[in-house]
Amino acid sequence: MAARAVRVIPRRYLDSIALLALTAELAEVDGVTDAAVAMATPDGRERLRERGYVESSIDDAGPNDLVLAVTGSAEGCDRAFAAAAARLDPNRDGGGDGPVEAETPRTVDQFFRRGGSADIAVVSVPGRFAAATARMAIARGMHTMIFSDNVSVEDEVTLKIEGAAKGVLVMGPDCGTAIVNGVPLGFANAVRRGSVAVIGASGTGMQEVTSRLHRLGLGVSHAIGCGGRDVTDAVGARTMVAALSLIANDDDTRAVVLVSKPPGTAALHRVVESCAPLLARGLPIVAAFVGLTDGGLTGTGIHVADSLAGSADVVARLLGYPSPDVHNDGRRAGSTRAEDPAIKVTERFHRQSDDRVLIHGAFCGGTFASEAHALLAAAGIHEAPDGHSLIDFGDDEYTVGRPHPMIDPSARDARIRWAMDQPSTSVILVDVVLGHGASTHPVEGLVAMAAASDASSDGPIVIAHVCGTDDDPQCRRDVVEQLQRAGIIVADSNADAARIAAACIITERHRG
Amino acid sequence: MADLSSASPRVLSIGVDAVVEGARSRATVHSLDWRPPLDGETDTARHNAALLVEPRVDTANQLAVDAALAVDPMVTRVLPARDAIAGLGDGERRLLHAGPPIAWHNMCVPMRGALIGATLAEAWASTPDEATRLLASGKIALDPCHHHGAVGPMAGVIGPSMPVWVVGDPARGTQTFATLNEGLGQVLRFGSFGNLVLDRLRWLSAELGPTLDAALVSMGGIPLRPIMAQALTMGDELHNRNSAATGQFLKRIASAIALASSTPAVAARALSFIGGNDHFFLNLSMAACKLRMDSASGIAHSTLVTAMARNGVDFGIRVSGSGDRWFTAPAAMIDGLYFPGYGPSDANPDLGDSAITETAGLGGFAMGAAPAIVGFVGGTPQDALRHSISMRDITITADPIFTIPALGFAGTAFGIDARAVVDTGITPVINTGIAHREAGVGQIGAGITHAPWECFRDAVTYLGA
Repeated sequence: MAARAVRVIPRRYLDSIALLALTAELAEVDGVTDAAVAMATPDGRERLRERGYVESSIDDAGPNDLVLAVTGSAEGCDRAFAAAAARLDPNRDGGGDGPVEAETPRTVDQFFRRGGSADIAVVSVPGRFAAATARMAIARGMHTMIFSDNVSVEDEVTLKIEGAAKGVLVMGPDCGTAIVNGVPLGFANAVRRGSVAVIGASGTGMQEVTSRLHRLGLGVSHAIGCGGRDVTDAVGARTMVAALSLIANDDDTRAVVLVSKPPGTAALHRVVESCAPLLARGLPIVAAFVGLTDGGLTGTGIHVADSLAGSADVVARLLGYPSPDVHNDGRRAGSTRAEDPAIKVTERFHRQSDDRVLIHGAFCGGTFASEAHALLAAAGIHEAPDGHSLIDFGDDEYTVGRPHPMIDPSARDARIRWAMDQPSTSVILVDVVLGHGASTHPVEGLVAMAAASDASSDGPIVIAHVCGTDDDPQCRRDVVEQLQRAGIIVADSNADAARIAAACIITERHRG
Repeated sequence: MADLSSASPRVLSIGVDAVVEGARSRATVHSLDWRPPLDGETDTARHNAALLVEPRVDTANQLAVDAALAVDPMVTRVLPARDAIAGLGDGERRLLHAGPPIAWHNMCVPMRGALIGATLAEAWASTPDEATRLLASGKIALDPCHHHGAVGPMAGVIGPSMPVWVVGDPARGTQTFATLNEGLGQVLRFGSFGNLVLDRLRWLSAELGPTLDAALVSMGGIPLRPIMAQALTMGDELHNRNSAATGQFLKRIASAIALASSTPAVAARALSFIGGNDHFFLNLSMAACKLRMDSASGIAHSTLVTAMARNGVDFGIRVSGSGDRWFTAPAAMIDGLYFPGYGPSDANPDLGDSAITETAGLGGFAMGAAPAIVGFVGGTPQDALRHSISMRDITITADPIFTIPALGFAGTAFGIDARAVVDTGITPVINTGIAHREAGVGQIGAGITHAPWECFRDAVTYLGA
């Protein structure tokens, strides 16, 4: 049942060619038998009248008004008007850009003004612009990872309050590592997806835990970095708390590991509170708060691990995966002489002269230095001028004007060369961090130095820990082989390396 | 709290792309070409971000652009300025000039020349020297056109006796004013004040003005928006090219001029003057654009730019939320093509109120509509389109009426958001003529320039305070 329908669009100008094109387009619409589009000029109205469109609304229209006139079914007419509206939308993409490409957007606002959208923003601009940039990202509803450092505590708190109001995570500032929904961001290792969520205020600590989980056969649901300052009382663990509440509703997660330096008292209290709903649902939570010995967690239901790697081992046990049984001297239960790094170190140690009494650690990862410090201190081994030393080459003091040692380990390697030349050096502890963002040739310098000394001699023993997986771009297995060929002993974890060193020094030669 | 497990996460990288290198195989990664604010100041980024995330600014800006786009300008009369513009008919000696406020002793030479010419035309002095002394004495008030609802190209000088277009929106009762375009060559707006110029001014006020007024009155006025929309599809951008609009205007008014003229000679002079000046429509375009932007002024919190104007020394902008306040920075030089015999060393810095067209989404913003004058912007139609596209990044919406055929009839980028200018470092592009830095030489070229970023920075700082 055909009917005529007329719509007048006031003050909409189309030139004659555009009128013809729109007429043709509307005539093709399903259910339309005739269409006419004209400006309501005397000529235009005459042409509409000739086609049988005599509606009074045409008579009321003026020469600057556009008339759409169609004949067809009611649905057909509606479709035609919808098609005309789409064609007349001034914001539509006309497809006429041709070879002209818009330049890459420079800012978050510009990206969104162009209709872009994203789920996660990664901010790595210079620190003094990071807060303003992150603020835009948060306001646009993106989870925001702030890789930049040198952001004030006040800004950090403000951003995290705004993030909470907007319902997005604010990871950082100074967040180096995250794996969100399987997507590695910053310094992150290639680990399989799985059921363990890792929430941490320490980038390398999270790398250690996620890599260890992977090597134990487990996988990671999300690894959420909070930024090193998150667990201070000034920030109040805002991100860790937000992450816990997100994870509480995450169906993929069956266990949680918390990684950080020991939190402030109030921050720890908030974290414990936020863990309660997860624990109530039966999700095990394991804390690796490097250096936290008494726990402060007794009676909370949160498991306390004795090391970063140990937290992964505890999770594995809780979820029913086989995990290595490591004695507190770093020796593995049931391992053979040939493969146990602790046994190999002991053999080398016995060949050293009694003058070799010192441990020198040179680290890329700050948390590895902290963990070694805590484990050695627990064994009664303390750093001192002209004594034992543990240096974090990722500290600001060493990164002014040069890249982070995970990207370029040459400054750290120079320290190792120094330590090898000291007649008092017994053990050198080093970490090698693999993964996205890290050096593609992380052990070149180490291997060259070690090869120059004789592994069978009575010189310093280099114990390395390789943080990463075989799936990383550098491939952990290949890196371990290179190190071992050069006579470097590779421990299973950073904690193992420290424990092995401590066991030798304490039992044999420690004079403290 | 937003879900973390979105099926295929999209990552936006802002800064060092190496940080998201690992994400590329698992996610769609968009990288920004991030750079610090043009002044390198942390506080600039901070203040601007605070405004950018402020919803009431977005609301105010939407109100402002809606108000501007609803304006339907119609030219209704041509009247002596003293009868049309408040402040020019009260017996006080006052002249208007282009751009933000500026004192006589700071003015560029072409503007001084134009004021001397206007002083002579008003018969307030009988020689150029006398006019100069009078102007320097401060006995003639000098105000920006913008302070009186008017706009003028180049020096933009308006005296009480000059005929002005009256452009209004009858539905709103608002009005703006602009002089009649004098054509090219020896003209007042480039600082000439010789007899040729003064004779032409006399003819404009004695004959052409009244003739046009009678014609317009007989027609009941002429709506300008349809002419402008049509002209964009005919190759004008309504700042540096007005050929099509001038033709369309002439076509509409010709018979009324013929009927309104006392003799065939009067009609012939009017028609051939209009037909012989491809920029005749420019002043109408400017008045229509000002009418648009004035209706968007004074909306609290809005960061919409409502005026951009130059006095040959300073470039000034006004922003809706700060009403009539000017934010100024030194006027830029113009990058363009010069007429034979002239070069950049002859040029005056950017001059005139005509950047009101860019403020309203035309001129440089509509450059993609005017391939015929792409020579001024670097050569290719693609360059022109690129300008029109890039302006989308600093504007609030697309014009529903003014469209660019080569962009699929997409609306021109409309409504400059000062926040976006500060944020992106992309500054409004302006198509403009180049004036000789000495009085009386006239136009020596045309090209493009950009509004100084600092004006927008200062506006945002003011509004954010």
